[in-house]
Amino acid sequence: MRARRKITFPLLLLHLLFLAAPTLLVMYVVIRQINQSYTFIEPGDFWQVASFGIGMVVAYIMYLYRARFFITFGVLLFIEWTIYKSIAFLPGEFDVFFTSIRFWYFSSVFTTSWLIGFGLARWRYFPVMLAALLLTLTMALRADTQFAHNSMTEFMEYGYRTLLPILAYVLYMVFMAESLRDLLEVSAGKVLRLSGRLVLFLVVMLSVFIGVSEYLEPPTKPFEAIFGGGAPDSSGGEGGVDTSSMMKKNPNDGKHSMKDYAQMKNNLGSGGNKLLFCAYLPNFLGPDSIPNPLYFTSYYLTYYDTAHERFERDSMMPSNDLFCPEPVSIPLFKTFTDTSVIRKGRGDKMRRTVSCDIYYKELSTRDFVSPSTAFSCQPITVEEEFRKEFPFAVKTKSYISELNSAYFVYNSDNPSIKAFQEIRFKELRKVKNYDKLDKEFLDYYTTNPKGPLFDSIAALAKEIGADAKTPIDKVLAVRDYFLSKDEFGEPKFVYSLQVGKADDPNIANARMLRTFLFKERKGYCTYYAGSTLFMLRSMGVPVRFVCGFLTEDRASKNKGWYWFYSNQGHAWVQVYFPGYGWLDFDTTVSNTDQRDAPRPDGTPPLQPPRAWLVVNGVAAEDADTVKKQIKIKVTKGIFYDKDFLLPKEMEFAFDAAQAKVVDEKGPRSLKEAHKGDSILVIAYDDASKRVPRPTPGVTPEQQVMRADQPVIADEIHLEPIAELKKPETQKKKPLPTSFSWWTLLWGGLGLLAFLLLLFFLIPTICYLWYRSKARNSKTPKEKAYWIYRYSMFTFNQLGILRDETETPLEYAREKIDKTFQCNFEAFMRVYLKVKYANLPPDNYDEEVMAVYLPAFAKPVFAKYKFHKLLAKFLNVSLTHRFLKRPREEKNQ
Amino acid sequence: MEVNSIAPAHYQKIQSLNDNIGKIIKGKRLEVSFVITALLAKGHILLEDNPGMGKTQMAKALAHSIAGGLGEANPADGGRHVTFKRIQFTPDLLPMDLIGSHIFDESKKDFVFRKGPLFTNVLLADEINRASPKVQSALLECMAENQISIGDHTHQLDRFFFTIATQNPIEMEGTYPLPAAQLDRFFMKISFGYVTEEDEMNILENYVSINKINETIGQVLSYQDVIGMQNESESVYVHPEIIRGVKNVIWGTRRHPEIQLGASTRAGIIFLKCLRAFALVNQRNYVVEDDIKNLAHVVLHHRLIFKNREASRIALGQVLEREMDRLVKLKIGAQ
Repeated sequence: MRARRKITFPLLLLHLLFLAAPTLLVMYVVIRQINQSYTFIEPGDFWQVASFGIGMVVAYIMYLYRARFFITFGVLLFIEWTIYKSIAFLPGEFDVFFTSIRFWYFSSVFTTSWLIGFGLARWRYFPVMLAALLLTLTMALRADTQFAHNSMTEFMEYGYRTLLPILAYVLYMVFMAESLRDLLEVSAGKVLRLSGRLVLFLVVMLSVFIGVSEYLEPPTKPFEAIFGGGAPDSSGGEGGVDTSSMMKKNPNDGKHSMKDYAQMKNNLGSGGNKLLFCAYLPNFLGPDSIPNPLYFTSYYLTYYDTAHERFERDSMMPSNDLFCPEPVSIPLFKTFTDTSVIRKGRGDKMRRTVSCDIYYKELSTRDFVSPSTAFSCQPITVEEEFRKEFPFAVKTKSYISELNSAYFVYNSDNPSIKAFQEIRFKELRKVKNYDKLDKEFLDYYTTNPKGPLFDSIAALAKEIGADAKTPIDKVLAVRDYFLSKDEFGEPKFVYSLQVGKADDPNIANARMLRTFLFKERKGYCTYYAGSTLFMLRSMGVPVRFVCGFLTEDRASKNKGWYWFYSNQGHAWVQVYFPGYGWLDFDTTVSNTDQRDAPRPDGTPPLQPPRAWLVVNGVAAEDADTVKKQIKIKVTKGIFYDKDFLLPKEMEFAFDAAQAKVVDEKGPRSLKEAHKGDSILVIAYDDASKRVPRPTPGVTPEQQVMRADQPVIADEIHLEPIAELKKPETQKKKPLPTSFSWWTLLWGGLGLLAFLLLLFFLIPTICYLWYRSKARNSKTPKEKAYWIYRYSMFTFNQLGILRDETETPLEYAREKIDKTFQCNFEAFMRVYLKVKYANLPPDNYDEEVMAVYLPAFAKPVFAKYKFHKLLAKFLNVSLTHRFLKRPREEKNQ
Repeated sequence: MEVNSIAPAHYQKIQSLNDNIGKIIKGKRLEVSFVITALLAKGHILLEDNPGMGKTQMAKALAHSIAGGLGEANPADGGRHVTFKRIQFTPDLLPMDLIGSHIFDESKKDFVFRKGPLFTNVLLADEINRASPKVQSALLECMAENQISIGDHTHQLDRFFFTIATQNPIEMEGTYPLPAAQLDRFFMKISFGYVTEEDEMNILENYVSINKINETIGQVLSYQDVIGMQNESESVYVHPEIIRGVKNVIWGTRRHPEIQLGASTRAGIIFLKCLRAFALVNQRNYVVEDDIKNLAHVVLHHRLIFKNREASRIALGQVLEREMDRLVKLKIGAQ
């Protein structure tokens, strides 16, 4: 856009200050918004914005100085691709998958910002395009959450919050860019004038904002009244818990997602009995004690958005311990682990690791549920007869407090449950206060919004918790308040789904929470959990809102098996106890109408035996149908949940006599396995078979190589399922164990060295490319052009620069031929003739070229000593000077 | 080297004309080629130079190199050559001193027209800025129209009519500087400037032979050759991108903030004519980017009015530089 003249350094500063900085500011806001709407694997908007800023500024400067777009962008993509690919080869042990995803995310942010920097530097009206893009983006972001309610208020608010700022940004950018365009030299006066304009602009925009908000305020209220967004107090202090916005049908597989929860509640009659999943959770407290069902967590809501009056997921919550993989995207038997959540869960007293099998039925396979702090997820096979009912299953590992149990949470008058709970409360009374907790954490989880409603909630909490000294007593005080009975012996609070407006019963917004707590005292889980959260926070107890599934122990004959129907979707709170971590608390009163409706416990799927060997390889030959054997060439696989990689390809013989042969569509016969087919074989650890056991000190590789052959195979998958193929590359490394900074440092340094080498090789690569072009061109016209480029590049790289005021012919005459005697001028004449004459080059011209090209390089290079030549060919800035984009001569 | 529609012999002749003049005007090969360019473009040239830089010698040498034309055969001169006349302009010079006048012929009892010095092939109009505007405009009309109107008679000048006007940049007192409209008629304005020290030495050593122009130089081309080459120069090929380049330069001068008056459309046409002729002078039948660069200053600079002295030094250069950059980086095929 401003490639027409030389950009001096002060001018560059002005550009950065007046154009790049505001854009960065806008993008900062946008990135924050995006972060709030979506949970990214990479938290921390600071680094995102930093990466964005660096990308944009670097690209902006480069393209302002007329770097070539396609070359530089290609190099950038190549570098990113190289790093992405080489992450898997870095030495040391760390989470390859996680790191590469993280890198992928950052590099896409970087690339986007690079493109934006390019646009700003080159295209005159790019800010307009950028703004259009942003508008679409915000529209898409908001369409999910906002327009769903179809409210005029929100539409106007959208205009006010999003449309106007973006329009202001466009106005500013176009205005400022045009001012800078006409600026030839930088002087103090001009800078002052620009700054003056900026201030004027800000004043105008500010007054427009104030004007619009003043104008909008009065009509907004009636709208709110009509559409039921009712804000009784205008101070903005309204409370509510809205889980509905987070819950919707998963568009990808048509199955239910936790986001469906609201709808499920809506039509209890039909949808209420849908079995979502069942889980096997072994009793970790010991064989004899009371069974320990646990609530299953989907996600946490921690951040209260005062603007929209509801709780939101917040990827930036301190110590984010949410483990949220997409189970279906993990390859079969691959263990996906993130142990950092254990550290971030901040509690290891009375904790232990518990494994749990989850069989998905109606629940979307993209959703992950697991009790307490999960840190590991491994898709497993389902026994064949159950595959129809439960197409997908995972084994998860969670870090769970011994204190936690559904019995610990149930609100029941049952004396045995009460006794069970008392033992645990006693332990928790050891926590007296939160004095030693770091302030940021405490502040985040105890901050309540301001406003009369919250004041009244706080007052209520103070009254309820007057006698409570320890945090656990405060929690119990709240629970007891909800359980308490009035003077007539009737329960004060009752469970009811029939609250709120008929058209939208799921939003427990401000007015409803007020109605719930102080008037009607009827509501369902989100009301109880929301009120509890505000009360506990007002008492200084760190607490968060949890969405997930209520576990009901129906004391069925299948011990350890729990069944989850769609109306078991639930919301409760987690309270933080230093040392113990986050513990579940449910303050919802029992539902006397609904809960006792009998629901069937199904037949639990047989638990498949544990696979001791899973290999994925290529059939070495056609299957031997007589001996029922198949030979497979293998390099990698999984041995008792551990990945292994054999030093060289090895042939394994499998006994397929008992194996089930299947492919994606269904059962197949063994003779369909042909040489060269890709085959996945699973062998189970069975008491009847002699199989190697994992032994400490022996690597999986050694054990696999030592295993007796033929190995008895249990399942043979032909033509591995698409999901298996894709993540193949990610299987290479043993997965996350310890993460070493040294590894990262050395790996990073190695990578950096490689990139540096690549960078300094650019001139040589360009030289070779030009040379081959010059040699291999067919037509004389092309040949002339490429010889010209080749020669000019070489001279340029040698530091014999052509002035921009010099024509190539003069350059050839004055600078080249006087030094090198390589007849460059004669060639230049031919080149100019080819370029400008209307006649084809004749024999003489072709002869000149034919003589010139082979004899060109030698006398030129002979003039230099080798080390000088090397130094010159490492100088990338000269290459840039040669390749940079020509100045544009645009007529305005 | 070239396969073209132009008689190869003409290249030879232009070369030898250049060499021939070079014997007299030493070390000024480019300037001499400019003069030849103006001649072949059927134009006129303005030399702005201090006294004693070889302006007259230049005109004389040119005239002596061309045989034929209006001149009288003079054996002492080595044969007939085109006529050369010189007029020293002074404030009291009248138009009729230039174009001639009607005088009374006793024998015919009638007025007859007595041709003035303008009826010649090569005219040296010395110190043109000393003459009154009346005389200047009379001369310029002749240059433009190639004819003279007196009363109801129109006298045609020779087809080969080439004016070398000079003006002295140092003494401006008592002069009538040429207005922009009239400067526009000159295809080029050049100045010789000082020669190098070596050439100076050479000239001083050989001034005796240099002064004897008649003996030093021969006639290398004929009157017919000049007319032929003038016509041929119009058939020199100009690539569309070069024409675009000329357009861009012209528009560049109009857009440049430091230039008050940019180049006219006529300037563009003249520029193209000069480019064609210059290509011919340089032994080519096509125009290259270097030609634009070499000619732009001499063809355009005197037509522009700059806002200040500083601008007059750099503005055209800036316009040109941008355009040259475009042309140089132009790819074959991007046509």
